[in-house]
Amino acid sequence: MAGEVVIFVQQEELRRSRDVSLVIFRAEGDRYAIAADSIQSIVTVESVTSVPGAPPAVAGVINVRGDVLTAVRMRTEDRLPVKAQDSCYQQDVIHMALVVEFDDHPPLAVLVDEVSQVLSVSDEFFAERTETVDGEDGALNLLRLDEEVVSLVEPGELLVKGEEVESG
Amino acid sequence: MADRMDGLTAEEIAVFAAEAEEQLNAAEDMLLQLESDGVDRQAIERLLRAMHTLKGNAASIGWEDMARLAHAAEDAVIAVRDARLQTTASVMDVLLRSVDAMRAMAEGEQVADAAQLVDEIARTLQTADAAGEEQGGGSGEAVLHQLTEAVGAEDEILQVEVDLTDDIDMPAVRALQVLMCCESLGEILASDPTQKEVEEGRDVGGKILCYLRANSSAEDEIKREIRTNSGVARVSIQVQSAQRLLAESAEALHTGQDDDGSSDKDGKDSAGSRHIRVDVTILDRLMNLAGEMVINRNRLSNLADDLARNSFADQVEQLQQTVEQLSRVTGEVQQNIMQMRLVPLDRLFRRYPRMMRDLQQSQDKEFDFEIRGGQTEIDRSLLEVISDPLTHLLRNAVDHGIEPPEERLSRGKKRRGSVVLSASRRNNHICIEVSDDGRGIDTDAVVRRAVQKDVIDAEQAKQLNEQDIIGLMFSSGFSTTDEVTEISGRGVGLDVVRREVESVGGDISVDNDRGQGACFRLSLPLTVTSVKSLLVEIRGQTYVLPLGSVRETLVREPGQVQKAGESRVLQLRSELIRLFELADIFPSVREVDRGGPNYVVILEVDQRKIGFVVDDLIGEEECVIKPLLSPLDDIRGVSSATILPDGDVALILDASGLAKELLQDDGRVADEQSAGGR
Repeated sequence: MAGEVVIFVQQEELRRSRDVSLVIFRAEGDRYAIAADSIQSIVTVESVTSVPGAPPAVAGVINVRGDVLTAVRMRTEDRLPVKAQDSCYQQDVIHMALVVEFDDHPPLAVLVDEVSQVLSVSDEFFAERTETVDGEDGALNLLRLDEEVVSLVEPGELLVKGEEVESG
Repeated sequence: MADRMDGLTAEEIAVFAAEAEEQLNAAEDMLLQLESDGVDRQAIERLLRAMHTLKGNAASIGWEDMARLAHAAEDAVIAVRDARLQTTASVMDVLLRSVDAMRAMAEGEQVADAAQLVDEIARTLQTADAAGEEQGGGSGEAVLHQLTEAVGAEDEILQVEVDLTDDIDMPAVRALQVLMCCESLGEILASDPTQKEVEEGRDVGGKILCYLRANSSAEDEIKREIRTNSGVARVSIQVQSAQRLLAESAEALHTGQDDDGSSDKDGKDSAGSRHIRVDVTILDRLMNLAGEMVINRNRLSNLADDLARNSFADQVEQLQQTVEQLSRVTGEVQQNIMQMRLVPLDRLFRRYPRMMRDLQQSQDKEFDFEIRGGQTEIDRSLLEVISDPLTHLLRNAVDHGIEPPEERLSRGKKRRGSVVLSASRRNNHICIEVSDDGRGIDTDAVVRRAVQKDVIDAEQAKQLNEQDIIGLMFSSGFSTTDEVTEISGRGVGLDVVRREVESVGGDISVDNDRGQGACFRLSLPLTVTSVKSLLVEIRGQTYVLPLGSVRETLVREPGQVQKAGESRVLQLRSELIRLFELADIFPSVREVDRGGPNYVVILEVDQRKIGFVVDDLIGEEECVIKPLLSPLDDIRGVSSATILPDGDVALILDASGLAKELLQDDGRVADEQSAGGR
């Protein structure tokens, strides 16, 4: 899928409602989307403090209006080398975070490079343009969008990601 | 659960749950009091109010199961009050279990045996009624029973019925006049409406029913007196015997004691409750301080404008003054808020008498449980943290400490043991002790166990002193009983107790008097909102070390450090001090030798010293503690975070906890070092 754009969306959300708003963002080179109503806010990130001993998907902690939130990154399979994990995690690249809300879990901040747009799309749109393929992380829900292909992620996946222990 | 929530918001449920918790706590306290001190009128009335309120509130939001259970429990309490039911262990047990069930319901759990409990209570009452002389049943009859008790069976009572004229102005005032008039003529035993209801402005309708023990029995005179009140259309008086009254339906009858459906003023919040009651004077002070802060903020922004326009000396002086004032005000605001967060430990301690009672019943142990210093205040967030550790220590005291009565007698001790939970404030710490007069800690057994569990080897075992051995009990995976008992089991060990206490900057220590008892002492900070800290730099990132365990700091000179096996030690005056770095704990934090001098922070843990190597010392600061959230809330060595003046986040290290682990990991070095230290 090199060079393709990947967006993740919450499946439940798609089944439930006719119109869905998607936040389209880019992170570490790839593009993703997430259901807009799971996003509490979009914040700029001055710096990320690394937490020694944290799960691999956790980049560290950030200050969001006085609260210390756990910051996760989208890609974990090709972990950055240890050097980049130290102190401020690639500050020149990361400058925004999506704060994602959950019902029974404290919010997580997803580090992103940029938020490109918010899309309102309909059921039919999905029916026509989504397909499921087997990716490295299991089944991916892909969405074709303006000649580009994107995968859809449920916010719950971020939680699983955040709590995964190092696989070795 | 979902269907119960229909039509109610989460907030309404929360308000109900908080209120229910309050009433259930009160009910539990009163039940325990009844059980230990016998039937006490005040306790029963409080208990009745609690059940009554629970019943009403539960019914009002459609929680039928809970309402039925509260109703059944209320009936049982009424039976106790009327001496139809004895407060036997089994009766108390079913009532306490009902309280537990209602508490679970209020917390949103499904309770399977609620209906069973209702049946059980009903059966208990039937049995009691069958055995007793009196016939009894619903609460209304109990009121009448009370009435007959008050007047005696042969007495005659006047049943006064008053109709008010239609379309009367202010019926409540008229009704009150009538009742006051009755009062002047005799003793009102009961009335509908009650005087209180009238005073509270409830709709009284046009009819007043009053049971009167008259001073004189001249009915006509009484009738005449009542008629003098304006608005009275008709008065009828019947002479009733107490016996007849018993046979009457009591549906319409309310006594003054049965009026209370509202919350109880002296009820207490549960431990860890999300709501607190705040002294108004503190709020007023905070309001004033907030005002001052706004003024100072405005002054600062004006000054900034001035500074931008021209220069300078005057403005700089003003700026300094304003900053000074602002920091004074900020400090006071912080202090006041801290004060608001303080709650008495009783909120937590009140749970334990019940637990200890149940323990006593389920084991062959006899002991008295005493609570001292429950009024000591502590930060409310600490209540939650120490709740489980205290439960564990108290259970331990019963399970492992207190001996069975025969064993105690054979050792020349009193038959009944004693467990004391006490709290006191000492300087800037809260000290909570759990002590018992039982066996004490068998240090030989602890050593055997530690060797058996591979916590230490036989060689190390020989070199341990008593404090070392007690320290072993707090290492992970250590437990002195093989079977996980229901009492202190649950798979939680003293290591978890220690970790929880230390996670809030507290400490735990043990006094052991073998054969005579043990005392576990928790030392806790007054507040957990901020902590005086030393800021250090490690690998380009700022870390925070709470000052509590920091003894001194020094520059590491290359010649001072020696190798001792795998680890490095530093010669400090006459002591050899083991050194460690963040990289020892987290391999991902790579160790780099910067060549230049780095610094050693000397930490003192359990009267031992250990050196923590850092790249730079930044300075001391009062750091506001911010919790780390899942999945980072359980990372070893990192207790929480803070926000630095520049807005960056810094991690607060549990340096003393890490040091403790390291010291235990290599007992030999620790021993050499501690031997050097003595």
